[in-house]
Amino acid sequence: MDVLVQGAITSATIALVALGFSLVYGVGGIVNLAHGSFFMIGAYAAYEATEQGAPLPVAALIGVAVAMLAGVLLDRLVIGPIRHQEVAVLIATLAVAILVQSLVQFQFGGLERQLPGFVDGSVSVLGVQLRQTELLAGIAALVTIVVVLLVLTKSPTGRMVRAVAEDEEAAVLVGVRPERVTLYVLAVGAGLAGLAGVLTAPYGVLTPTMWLLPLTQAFAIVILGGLGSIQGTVLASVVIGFLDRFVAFNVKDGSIKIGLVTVAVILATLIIRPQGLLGKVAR
Amino acid sequence: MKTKQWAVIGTALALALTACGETGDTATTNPSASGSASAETFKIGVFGPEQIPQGEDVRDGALLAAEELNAKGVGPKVEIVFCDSEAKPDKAIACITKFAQQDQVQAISGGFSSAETLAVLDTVKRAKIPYVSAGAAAPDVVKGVDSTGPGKYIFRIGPVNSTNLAVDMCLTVTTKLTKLGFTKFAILHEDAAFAIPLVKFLQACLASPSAATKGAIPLDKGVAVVGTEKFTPSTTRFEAPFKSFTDKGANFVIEISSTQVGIQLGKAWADLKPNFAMGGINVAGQSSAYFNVTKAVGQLNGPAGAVRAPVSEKTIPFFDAFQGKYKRDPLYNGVATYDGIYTLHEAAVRAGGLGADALVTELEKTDRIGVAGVEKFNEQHDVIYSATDPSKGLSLLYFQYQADGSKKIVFPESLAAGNTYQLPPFVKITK
Repeated sequence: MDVLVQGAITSATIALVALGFSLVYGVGGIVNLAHGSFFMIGAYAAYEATEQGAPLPVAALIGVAVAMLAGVLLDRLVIGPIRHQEVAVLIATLAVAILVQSLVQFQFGGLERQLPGFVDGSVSVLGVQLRQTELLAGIAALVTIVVVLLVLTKSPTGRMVRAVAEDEEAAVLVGVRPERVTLYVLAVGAGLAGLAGVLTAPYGVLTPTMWLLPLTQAFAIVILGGLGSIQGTVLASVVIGFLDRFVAFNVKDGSIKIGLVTVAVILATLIIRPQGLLGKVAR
Repeated sequence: MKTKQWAVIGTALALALTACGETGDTATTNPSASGSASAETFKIGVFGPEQIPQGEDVRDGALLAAEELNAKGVGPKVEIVFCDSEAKPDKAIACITKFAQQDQVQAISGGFSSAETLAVLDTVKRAKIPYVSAGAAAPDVVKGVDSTGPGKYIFRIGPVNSTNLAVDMCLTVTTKLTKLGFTKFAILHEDAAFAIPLVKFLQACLASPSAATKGAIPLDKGVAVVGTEKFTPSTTRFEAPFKSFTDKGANFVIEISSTQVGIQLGKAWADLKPNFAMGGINVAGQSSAYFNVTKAVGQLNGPAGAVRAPVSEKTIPFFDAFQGKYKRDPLYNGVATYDGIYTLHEAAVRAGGLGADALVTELEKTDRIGVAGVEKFNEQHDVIYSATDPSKGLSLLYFQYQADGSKKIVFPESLAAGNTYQLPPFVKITK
C-alpha cells in the first residue's frame, strides 16, 4: 500500500517535468537537455524569494514565473537560431544546463538548501502515513496535469499545438506560426518543471546538481512512453513513479539506487523497444 | 525514432554527469614553513565550505578566536586567511596549495567533512605546515601519524574520531537507553567517509559491547539491531526506511548525518511521527534554525553535540561571545576551530616562534582546558577521548530538543542539571 500511495504522488510530480519535455519534443522536435534546469530554477527562485521575505505561496508563484521566463529566454537566445539542427540544439542545451549549474553554484554555493514546507505534519491516506506537504505536491501536480491535458485536447490553443506536432507544414498552411507555438510550449513546459521543483523542494534539498535526476527521469519517461506521445508520457510517468517507490521500499538502501534503476529503464527500452510503449516507429 | 540520436543523448548525459570537476594539486613546500622567531604575525589558513552552517562556523569560530587573542595582546598577532572549500576535496586541496604558495601561512586549521580533510593530507605533508583538523571524524585523518614521520604536521583537535564516537554511542545505548525501555534499535546513516567506520564499529559494539571495546564497556550481552539503512546527502524521502524500521519493531533509531540533509531527516521524523524515538549525530540539528524548520520535539542529538552548558570554564563564555557576535548557536566544528586556533597560538607562544617543527613539538605538549573540555593529543596527534573522566580527555554530551525548541543536556548526568530524557510525544514503547 505504501508503494501504491506514494507511487501515485511520485508519478504526478515527475509527470509534471516529463510532460514539458515531451511537449517540446513533440512540437519542435527539440531534445532540450536544459529541461531539468527549469526544475532547479523554479526551486531556487522560490528559495531566494523566501529569503527576501516573500510568503511561501508568493515565492512559489515567483519560482514558476522565473522558470517560464527562463524557458522563453532559452527559446529566443539559444534554440531559436539553431532550431532545425538537432545535434547543435542538443549540445547548446547541454551547455546551458551546465552554465545554469555553474551560475547557481556561484550564487548559492555548492551545498544543500531547504525551502520551508507549505504545510507541516502528516495525514493517513489508505492507512499510509504521508507528509502533508508531499500530499499537497501530489494533488497540485495531478490537478495541473489534468488542466494541461484538457487544454491540449479541448481548447483552440491545444489544437494549434497538436497541429504543429502532427504536421508542421500543414499547420503553417492554415496560418499557425510554429516558432510561436514552440515558444509557448517551451515556456509552459519550463513552468511545469519549475512548478515541480517548487512543489517537491519542501521535502527535498536544493543543490546545483538537482537538475540531473529529474532530467534523467524525464528522459526515461519519454523514451519508455514513446517520444512525443502525451498519453505515453503519462503512462510512463506512472510506471517510473511506482518503480521509484518500489525500489525505495523493497531494496536495501533503495533511496540511493533509484537513479540507477532509472538509467536501466532508459537502456532497456532503447534495446528492447526503441519506439517506447506508445510511440511511433519513426517520425 | 532515431536510435543514433539517443546514442548522442546518452553521451551528452554522461558528459553532464562528469563535467563539473577539476583538480589541481601542485603544492610545494611552504617558503615560510621553516619559520622565523621574529615574525610578528601568525598567519593561519582556515578552510571550510562557507555556504553552509558547518563551514560558516569554521570561519567564524576562527575569526572569533583571533579577535580575542589579538585583543589580549599576548604572543604573536593572529591573522586568519579563510579559503572556501565548497565541501569539495579538489577545492580543499586548492586551498592548501594557496595557503602554502600564495598566503604563506604558518599553520592551518578548520576543514569540514572527512572527505575533504582526508583529501588535503598529502598536500599538507608536502607543504610541511602544521594542520590542526577541526571538522573530520574519520580515523584515517591521523593514520600513520607520529612525531617523526611526514605526517607529524597533522593534528586533530575535534571531533573525537569515528571509533570513539561509536564507543560513546554504544555506551549510551547499552547503559542508558536500554534502561529507559528501548529494546530494539536501528541505524540510519549517511553514506559518508566518517560514517562508514563509525557504523561498522557501532554494529560490532552493539552486538557485543565488551568484546568490541576490549572491556571498556563491561557488558557481554548487546542489544538487538533490527536494521541498518544508508542515505546520501541528496536523499529527499525517508518514508521507506522509516517503514522498514517500524515493521521490524525498532523503538529507537540511531541517526548519523553530518550534512544539511539532517534537516530533512528530522523534519520527516517529526512530520510522519513513526513509533520510534530518534537520536544520534545530526550536525545540522545543532544549528539555531533547525528546530524552527523541523519541530523535532524529543529528538536526541549527540555525542558530538554543542550546547551552552558548563562543560568547561570556557564553554559558556565562548557560547555567549559567539551568540553575541553572530546571533546563532555554534556547531561542533565552530567550537573545534575556535579551540584549534587557541591551541596553535598557545603552541606558538610556548615555542617562542612560528617555525613548523617548533610548533609541532609544542602542539604535542598540548594540555589545555578548551571550550569542549580537556584537550590533549595522543601519540597519533589525535585528541584524546575519555568517556567517564573529563580530566583525562574530551567527554561527550547529548542534548534533547524540548517543546519550546530549547536544547537540554540529558547525558551525561553530570552535565544534565537534573534534566532527564523524555520520550518524544508520539512514541509509545510497548513492553
